[in-house]
Amino acid sequence: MKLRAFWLAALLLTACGGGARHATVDNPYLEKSRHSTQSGMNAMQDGRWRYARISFTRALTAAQLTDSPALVARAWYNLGMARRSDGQTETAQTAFRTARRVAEQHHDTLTALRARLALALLQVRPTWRPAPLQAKLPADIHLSAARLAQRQHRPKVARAEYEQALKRSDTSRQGLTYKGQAYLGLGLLAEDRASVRHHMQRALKVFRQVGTPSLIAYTLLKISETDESETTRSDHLHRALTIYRALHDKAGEEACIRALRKGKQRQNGPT
Amino acid sequence: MKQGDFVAGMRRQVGWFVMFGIGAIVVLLLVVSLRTDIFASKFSLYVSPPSAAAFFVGQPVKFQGFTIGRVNKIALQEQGKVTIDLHILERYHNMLHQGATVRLVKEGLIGQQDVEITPGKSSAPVLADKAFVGYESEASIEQLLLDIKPAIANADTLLRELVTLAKWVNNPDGDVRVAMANIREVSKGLHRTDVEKAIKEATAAFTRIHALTDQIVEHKVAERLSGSLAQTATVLKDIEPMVKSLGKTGPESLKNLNALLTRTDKLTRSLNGIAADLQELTPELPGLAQQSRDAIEQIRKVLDGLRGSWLFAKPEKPGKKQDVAPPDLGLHP
Repeated sequence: MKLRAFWLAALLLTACGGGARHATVDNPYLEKSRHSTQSGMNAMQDGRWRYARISFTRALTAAQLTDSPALVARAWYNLGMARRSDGQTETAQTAFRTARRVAEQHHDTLTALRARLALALLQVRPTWRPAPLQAKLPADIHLSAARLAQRQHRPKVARAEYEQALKRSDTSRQGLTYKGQAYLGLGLLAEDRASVRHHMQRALKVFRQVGTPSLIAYTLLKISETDESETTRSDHLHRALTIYRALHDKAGEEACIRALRKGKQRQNGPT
Repeated sequence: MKQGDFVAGMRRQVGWFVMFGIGAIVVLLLVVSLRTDIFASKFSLYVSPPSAAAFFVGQPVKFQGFTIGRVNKIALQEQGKVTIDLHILERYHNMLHQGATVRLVKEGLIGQQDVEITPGKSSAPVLADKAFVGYESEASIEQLLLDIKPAIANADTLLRELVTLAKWVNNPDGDVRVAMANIREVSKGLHRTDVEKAIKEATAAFTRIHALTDQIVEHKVAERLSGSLAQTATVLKDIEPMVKSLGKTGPESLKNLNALLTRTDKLTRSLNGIAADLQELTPELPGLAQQSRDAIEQIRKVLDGLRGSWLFAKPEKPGKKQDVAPPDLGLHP
């Protein structure tokens, strides 16, 4: 009898499992926010800061219409990052502060931490020292923390954070870019020439793979500082210069030209 | 009634019952054998496909839509070669000639794949027993992949064209923007008293506009966009027949196709984004941009429809979308 009841129950459960699915209704503003965020992310990857700002502003408006504080905080952070990359430091700070306030109010610790790190990195002499981070945070947070520690001349902390960023980076384009930036950071922290070159070469390989020309140029510029042969150094600098010119990056161009002039002066010096 | 008569009667009844039972079984066997050709005379044909993945013992072998035999045995030879033994009914032997080939077919999107045999050349001799017949890989996924590649290339071209066009139109030093700025300047000037200066500026502006018109002709903006739309239509044309052909493909190849479709989907999404930017930044070209977007959206729907079908029961897991902007570490001079 018990067995029969069991089979009956099982049959009923199976029948229920095969029933029609409930129709799902998606919030159109949520979809709009996602879409605009994705557009902004793509624009950021291509270095189209203006498009990124437009997209992230649209994403923010849509996020506000969904009344989701987590989404709003992230949208403010993204907008801040687009403004920062576009050189609008003041408005970027406002965006990061808003992101931090909203995130802290609604206990979104990750976005709050991201916004605090971004604000600290915007300062000329950052003073805020975050408490030791948990090992399992997203790669971008470890990377920002590492950069902050590096700028505060705390090489041990910076190295540990870069190592964490390496561990936490996935194999997506963004993840690989973080990986390359972590190698670059380790290279900048390395004390002997061989280690510097080793890390920089690894960074260069990753940047070439994912296609981040500004980071390739910066790495070439940094590698050139460790070159012993003047020919190799000049080659690295010329390659960096070509990229900066193509990107219309005046600061980069000037840095390369200065380095090339220095090299020439060194060559002409003894004579 | 005597006891002996009663026993004899019972025996008779039991005898009849047993005989009737046996007779029923015999008739049943006879009917089954006639219906299923179990005892019908058969001959063997061998086929050696590259993989036995889509074959199974008992699989029907069809000829002109009729089941004329079944897969009897699947064996892996020492050299790693797959040999499949097909048992074909003898009565169809004279219809199969040398040059006959075997292929896998599926009648619809749902259902198992059947083995189909072609008749071969009617002028050629009839196939011998235990003869090897060729295996014809259905114009399958490999062909489809080859077909879709130009479509992807077209979409790539469309993307490049849209980007170039957007860059050209939005270049702050370019003719479009400069001409607009000049017109604005001229309209300001008309409110002033210095008419002569305004006329000079207007002349300069009109010269620039004339140059711009030439540029537009030279750059063939409209033609380029029309070309892009035509290419988009080609992409659609290439993708849609795939839906019909998909049923005839093996599961392994579908994985490859799925990867390719993921790429196309990604590409069309990028195109959609670019077209949206183009529409927003160049209100002077809304019609064509909108048409591009609609066409692209149509492609995406076709792809989504494909991905939603049971054939893609195990689609590639899309990577977790990044929704947090990468940090700016100040890694620039």
